[in-house]
Amino acid sequence: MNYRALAAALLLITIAPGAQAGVVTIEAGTIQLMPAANTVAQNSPFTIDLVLDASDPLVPGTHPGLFSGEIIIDFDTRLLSYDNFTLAGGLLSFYLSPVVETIGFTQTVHLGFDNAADLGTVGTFTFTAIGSPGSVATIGLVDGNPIPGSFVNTVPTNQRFIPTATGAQVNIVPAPAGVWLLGTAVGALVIRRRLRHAAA
Amino acid sequence: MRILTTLGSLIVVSLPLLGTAVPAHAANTARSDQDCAQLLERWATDPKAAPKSVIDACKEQLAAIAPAAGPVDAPAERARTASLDPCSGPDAGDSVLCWGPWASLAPAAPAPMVTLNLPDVSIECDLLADQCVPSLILVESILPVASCTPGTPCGFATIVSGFSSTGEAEDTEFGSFRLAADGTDFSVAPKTGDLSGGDIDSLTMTTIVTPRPDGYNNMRSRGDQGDVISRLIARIEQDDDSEILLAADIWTHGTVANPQSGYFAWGNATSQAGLDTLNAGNVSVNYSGAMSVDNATIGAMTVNFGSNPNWTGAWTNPDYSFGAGGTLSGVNMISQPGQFTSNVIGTGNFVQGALVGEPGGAHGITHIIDVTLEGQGRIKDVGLLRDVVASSVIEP
Repeated sequence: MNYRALAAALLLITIAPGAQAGVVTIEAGTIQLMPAANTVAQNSPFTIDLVLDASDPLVPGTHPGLFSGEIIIDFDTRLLSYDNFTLAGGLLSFYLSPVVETIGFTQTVHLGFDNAADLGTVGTFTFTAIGSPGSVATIGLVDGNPIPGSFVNTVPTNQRFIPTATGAQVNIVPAPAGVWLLGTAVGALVIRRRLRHAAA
Repeated sequence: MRILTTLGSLIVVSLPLLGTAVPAHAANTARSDQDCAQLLERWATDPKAAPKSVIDACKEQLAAIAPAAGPVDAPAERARTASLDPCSGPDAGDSVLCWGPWASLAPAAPAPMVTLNLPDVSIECDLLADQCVPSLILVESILPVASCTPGTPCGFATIVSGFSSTGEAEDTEFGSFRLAADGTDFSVAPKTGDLSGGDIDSLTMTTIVTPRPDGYNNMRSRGDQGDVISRLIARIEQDDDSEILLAADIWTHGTVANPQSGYFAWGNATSQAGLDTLNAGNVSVNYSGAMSVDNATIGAMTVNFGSNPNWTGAWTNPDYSFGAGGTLSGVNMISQPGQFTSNVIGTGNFVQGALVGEPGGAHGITHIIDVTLEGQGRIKDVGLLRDVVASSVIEP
């Protein structure tokens, strides 16, 4: 299903200008992964926040409101390993718990949330960078139900809007030199201790 | 229980008979026969010689003495009258001085048979209880969108092209809306179309229901088949069996190349028993809620139940407000043109609605508005209003 949604999103981007001619579309607000660019040491875990900004007055409904929506992220499994997603708390809840799907080297995570605030973190993804140093991992982000769009302000009634979705990039770098040195020293100490025990 | 429904075609209302017509010339002063004869002779050459009432009185006076003089040759009498009366001849109809070619007052017209083209009459009979309950069903032709029947699903929707659910008023159409009690499919019938053969039928959908902080639940329904999609995002109220009682907000159906969408408000129309209870109690019930297309607009309606149920309403937006009023027939509400506030201009304005749910339970009004406001232009919207204030008895 995730891939179908991704394909639908691409299809919509391709043909929507013609199909939507003359039709009112409320494009307002943003949904994005933050930080948008990140540098992570190889084999290190890291987090990326899913942040909604629906404070734009063009977003319909009451402000402050309660916002609901559905997203899909996708990434290369040779570069990143998905660990989990946790909601930020407060009133937030899932109406669609995270669903992970893998086809080839592409993995998607699809989830839907309720009761997000006008501006703030919806939740946090945790990954581990497993790619080789120097590689760049891209995490794509799209509406989980791109046709017709899943985002709504539920206050006072449900009204749809289409936020601009922005993903993130992760630059994978070698582990810091200090870590290598520390590891070498610890290893040397261990070896020395074993040798002493053996001699005794 | 077996219900027989008989549809009558017309309600015929007879006006009271005008059995005691008062002669217009009753107060005329009495004249001698000779004066009358002279007057008639003058009138023969000059129709303005005397008021018509006076001439008529003289005619009757002279005619009254004629039978006493013996039988009269009718053709000869008619010829004589015609020779005297310029308004009795064959050219009388062409004279601007003559009322018509009648020699005397026409008899009072019988009471007209006035036919109202409004209602069909539906009579539901409970044979076991030996009771028949007449219910008035407004003829489809006088309601912009198909009417609702007590105890059956009933809803209204806006329809636009595209996925946005929102469009210009001129590009927005109204229709009837039907929703499955479990939320897995819906139909939209533009205008007065038949729901059973609705023009827009959703796919079978899966549903996800989550709680909302305002007492409703939120339902997302989704169906996909090839390149056809169906979607609902709705506030709903459910019963203990999870059946949907009231619902409102966004519907979408179609393909990327040819999608349609809009907003809706839906419920089960109040049963006849529920209506009877409300009308018998002479209660006045207030309803309120945000509209769905422009949810900055708050609708507030008051329905006065009783022997002659009616309603009033006001719709308030940061940019405008207007009011309306009308009648309630069965569960159906329709505005009366004379009851709009003065800022509703032009023709064709209406508010149509229906009572849904049962008193004491999930109870409200589904309705649509189509008005042109001075300085604002045309506005079309659909909304679900809930009863918000405890019912109060109307003082006689």
